[in-house]
Amino acid sequence: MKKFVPIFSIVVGIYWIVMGFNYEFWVRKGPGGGFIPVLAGIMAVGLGILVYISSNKDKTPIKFSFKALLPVAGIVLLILVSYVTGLVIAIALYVFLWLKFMEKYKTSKSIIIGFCTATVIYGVFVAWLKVPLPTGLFELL
Amino acid sequence: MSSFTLLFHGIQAALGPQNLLAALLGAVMGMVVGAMPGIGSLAGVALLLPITFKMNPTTAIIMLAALYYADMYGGSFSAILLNIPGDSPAIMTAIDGYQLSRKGKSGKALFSSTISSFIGGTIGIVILTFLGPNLANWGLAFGPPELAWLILFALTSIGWILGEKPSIGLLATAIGMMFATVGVDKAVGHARFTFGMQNLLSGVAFIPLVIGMFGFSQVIDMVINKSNYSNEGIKKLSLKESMLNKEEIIAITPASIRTGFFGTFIGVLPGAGATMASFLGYIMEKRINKNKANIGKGALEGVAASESANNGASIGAFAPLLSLGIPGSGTTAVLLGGLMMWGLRPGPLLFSENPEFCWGLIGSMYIGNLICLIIAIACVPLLMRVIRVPSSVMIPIISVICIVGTYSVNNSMFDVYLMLAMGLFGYIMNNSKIPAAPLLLAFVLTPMLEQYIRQSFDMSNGSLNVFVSSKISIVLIILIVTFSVVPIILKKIKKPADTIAA
Repeated sequence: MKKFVPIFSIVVGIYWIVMGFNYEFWVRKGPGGGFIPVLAGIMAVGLGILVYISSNKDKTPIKFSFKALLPVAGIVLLILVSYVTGLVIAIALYVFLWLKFMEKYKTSKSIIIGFCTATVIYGVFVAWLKVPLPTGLFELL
Repeated sequence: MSSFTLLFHGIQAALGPQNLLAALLGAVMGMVVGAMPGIGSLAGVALLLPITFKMNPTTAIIMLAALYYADMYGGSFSAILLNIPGDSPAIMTAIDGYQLSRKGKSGKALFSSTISSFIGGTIGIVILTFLGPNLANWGLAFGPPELAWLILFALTSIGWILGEKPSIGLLATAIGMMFATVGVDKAVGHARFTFGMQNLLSGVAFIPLVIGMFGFSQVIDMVINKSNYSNEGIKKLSLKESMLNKEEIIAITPASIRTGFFGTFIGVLPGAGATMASFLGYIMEKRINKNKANIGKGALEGVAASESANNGASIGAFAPLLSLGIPGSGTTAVLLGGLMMWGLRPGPLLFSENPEFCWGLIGSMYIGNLICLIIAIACVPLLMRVIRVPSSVMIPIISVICIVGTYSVNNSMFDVYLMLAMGLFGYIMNNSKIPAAPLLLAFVLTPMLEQYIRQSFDMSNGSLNVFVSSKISIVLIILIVTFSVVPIILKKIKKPADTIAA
């Protein structure tokens, strides 16, 4: 995993350099749209190579754990559910389900924490700050 | 009339019940808004502005100004407790503050940030009182070439300082610069690196990036390494034990005073803002503080440096605003709109034509800063309870804060997806020991760098001489070379010396 970032920066850096020249590096007497992208790309490629080489010397293994995708998947599901129930209810459900099934909390405790979290979110963001959080199908009512 | 007399009248006006209440309301709202990721001072000021329509201008500006500098106090709370900076100036606070929290010293970190915020704010207010118009003129000495060098100094220094090796910190800087170029190039009007996505036309939003890389990556780490976040091994300090002892106060005071002055002068520079002040103040202390070896690993001096600098800068931003009508940051730009709305014309004559307004505002800052200190200290016992919440409960709650905080910026789910992607990327960076702070700094500063470079070439008709024509530019170039090249040379000299000694 420690090679991911240097490889990412080398690949993206090369792309940034190529596209940067497409956006024009220099226009008349000043930098064009590609000036900073090209410079940043060159830095990224050069430093990416340096860091990649030094990562070879470090023999400490660092593996990517697929458990990292669990909270991501959970939130993607929350977003999908929010299209139906609205974000606030989806948040309450997400907190309840995570505590109940992932953290093995009691049902009653999970419900209380989920409800309180959603209430605070509603109170602060919707009622006070007037942030128009998605309401899902309730929008049709 | 002398400044003291005018200030005395200003403080008298600020102590009026209506103005006092306005300062209190602004301070409380500012701290709440600052603590909430995704809602910065700009949103807070914009929210309160309509309420001020019916107020007299002095009361209105007192409330809005109190919100602005109280936001700096509040931004440190979520940075220290949750590793989610409430606003960009608190990014550097999160580095040391959160590590202190993990060691069970959240109370000490909170007290340190509060006291140093007060010191920085006070220094800024005193400087504004006696040097306000002169300060603004100093800010004018920094043109586009000088500001470009200042930004380069910040970018190279922070990349050098954070990370096990300079190449690692600078790699993060380069990635941040690349991310910053996504979106429509404002000078030319062409879209860059948007991959045909409409949502990327305005660029990668800052809040999803910072919440993802700091907050959500934290959640991922909590899920994978749950045992690291167990509160069992951490000694729970009582409120009394969490207060700073005499040695700790002595340790943070010099850092707070230095960065308070420094931050005030940086805040004066148009466009620089509290974010750059906190970064540069942190870099300065990392170089010169007695405890520099521990800054970045959970040192109170690191928290103090960042907080004092950003509070000093938030006050410093008022100097060009009032004296010249030039806003020093996005929030002061909204305040400028407010001033125009109330029929006031910022500029050199504002102090002479509307002394009760200007000195009432400056007087209220002394009182407002004190109110912020009292409220923040009173909140510390409550805030310390947050760190005692089990990580199993924090995981879904922080996730939810990340989602809603991100969504509230542009009311866009695309930002939430972006936040998730950045969170994964941030997690991989953390695991690879690549720091995120240089990436975020580069992301914030690169658009300004590009703008200043373009303006410099426009001024000079394409000549490079503009970058070396002023004394300020020469000084900054020397600083960049000194901070970048000298450590390498010293290291190379020291290596053979160590070999000979062995």
